[in-house]
Amino acid sequence: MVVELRPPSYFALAALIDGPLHGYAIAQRARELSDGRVRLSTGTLYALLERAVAESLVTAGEPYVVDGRHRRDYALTASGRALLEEEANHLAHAARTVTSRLRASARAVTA
Amino acid sequence: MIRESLSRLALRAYPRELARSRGAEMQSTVLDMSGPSRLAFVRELGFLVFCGLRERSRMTARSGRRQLTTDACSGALILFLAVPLWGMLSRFGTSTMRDGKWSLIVLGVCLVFVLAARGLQPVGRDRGPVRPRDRRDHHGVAGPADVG
Repeated sequence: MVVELRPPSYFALAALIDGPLHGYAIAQRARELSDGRVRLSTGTLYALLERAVAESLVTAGEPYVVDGRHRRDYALTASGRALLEEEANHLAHAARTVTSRLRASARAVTA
Repeated sequence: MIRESLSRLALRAYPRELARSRGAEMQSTVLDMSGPSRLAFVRELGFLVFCGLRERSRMTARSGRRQLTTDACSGALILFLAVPLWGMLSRFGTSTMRDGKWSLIVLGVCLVFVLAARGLQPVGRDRGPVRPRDRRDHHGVAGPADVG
């Protein structure tokens, strides 16, 4: 799978871990998960959702209307979950590497 | 009401098939995302038009380098004309009326100008049904790595 997950896509997919959500809820959840760092605009959100659907990372449900608002739920697929897990492991490994280097460097300075 | 009309208008930036399949949903999301804030609404519309025009450009890019160049030049000319139009209308609004809705009207006029001009271009407009082999590309509005 040749898909690089940048923060907007990473957090948009992560928003779907707990279950299907509609577009607006995905943007809200992504913002919460990223501590406010990722603010998805409608254009960006639907661009990455369309791409994720095309890549079979996400499935789009049937459209419905609630309180006059048109919605469609998006759900994470098994391959989407696998990609997300792979990316999370990659980020965790990168964070561990840098953290250990920083600690080693700090010890060398204080010694 | 004016927001619904403007967001519907902004969706015209997208290729017809995409606007038809996702338009209503995107319009609802724009209205929810912007809430009561006028600034947030303008920002949402701006991104929507940008992403829509980018998707149209991707369609044009598949038509060949010559058409892509023509499209880029005419697009630049349209924006070159839209910026002074925006400034002129804004100045006119502040000198004649102090209504807060004026900025939305100016935005609407400029959007109509840009989208109408884009629609009249010989390239980059909808060309009927998407061929099956193009369908995958057509739905790939932008790669996850491209957006942010």
